[in-house]
Amino acid sequence: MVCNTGVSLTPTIDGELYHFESRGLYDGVSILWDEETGSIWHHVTGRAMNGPMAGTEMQTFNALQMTVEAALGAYPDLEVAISDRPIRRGDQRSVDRDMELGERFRATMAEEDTRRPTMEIGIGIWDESTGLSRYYPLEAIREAGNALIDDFGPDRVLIHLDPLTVTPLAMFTSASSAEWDGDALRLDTGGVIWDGLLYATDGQDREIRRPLQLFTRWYGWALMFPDTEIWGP
Amino acid sequence: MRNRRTRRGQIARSRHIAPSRKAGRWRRSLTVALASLVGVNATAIAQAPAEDDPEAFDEGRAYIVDETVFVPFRPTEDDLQPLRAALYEGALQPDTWLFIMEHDAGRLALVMDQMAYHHVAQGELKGEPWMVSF
Repeated sequence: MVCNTGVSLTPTIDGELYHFESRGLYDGVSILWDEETGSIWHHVTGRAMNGPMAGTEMQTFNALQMTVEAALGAYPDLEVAISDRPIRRGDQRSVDRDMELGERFRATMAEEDTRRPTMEIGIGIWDESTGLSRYYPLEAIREAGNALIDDFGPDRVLIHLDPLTVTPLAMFTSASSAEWDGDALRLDTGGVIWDGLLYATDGQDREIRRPLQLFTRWYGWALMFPDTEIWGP
Repeated sequence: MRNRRTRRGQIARSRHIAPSRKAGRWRRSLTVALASLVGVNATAIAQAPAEDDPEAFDEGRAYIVDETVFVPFRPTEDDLQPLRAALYEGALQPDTWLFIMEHDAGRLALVMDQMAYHHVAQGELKGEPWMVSF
């Protein structure tokens, strides 16, 4: 999709399995339709916006963006599901291309939030329990030295560009500072992030806890989270 | 393409820009002519949104098709294969972009370029339903 937003969800409501497909656009992003009730759902928030299930929400999880090379570094035993569709080579992500938002998309959008350029890319994080959301422009992350630590509600997050894929990722951290050492990101807690893994001082890798996050374009993020804050260095 | 960086740098301090109060949403009726863009019938409902609820669904600007356009991907657990094997066999390249689903059901990779068509993939891992939308 133009907005580049991908998420994972649990397609069950009260223990019942629902089956979904993309059936159009709203606020410039894809909307979902379920076979069982014909309700219309937001494909990122998992909230039914219209129809019999309106107001119902599915549980949301991250869908991180990585190349095969990066994924195998972080998760050597990862499995993949490949469909029968052809796979293009080259620029596969919309964020890797200069794009304009077509009229078909614009016609579905509410008034734009003009604090940032429409097609700017960045990473947004949000907390479903507090409603807090914040957007980090890719350009600002680069200006910050490709890594920054920020307080996010009661938590602290590390936002950094993965050196292999140049894609921003967010994770919870207890560190208060970080410094690059080649491709390794050294935290003041003694931990090191390298090749997608977090290593503790004993050299063992630790599970990375991540906030809900989207690597997305500004227009889509701002319409999903109209009260979003924007981080700036 | 690997982009190695050698720069050392301290992290930046943060500054948050408060959100502006958004103006009221504007309405726009879609015409059925839009349907020709994707070659299917579209439902274009020119209905006023609830002006007192800015979060209400505004059917007037929703573009909804009434038949399947993008066939969802519904793999079974038998369709899953090790990512390493898919790379070795040439089904994927090192620079192929993936979505890495981090779900309670488990972790699974999906090919982003295929998801750009399907938009939705769903299945089960160890009996737990999962879905990825794009």
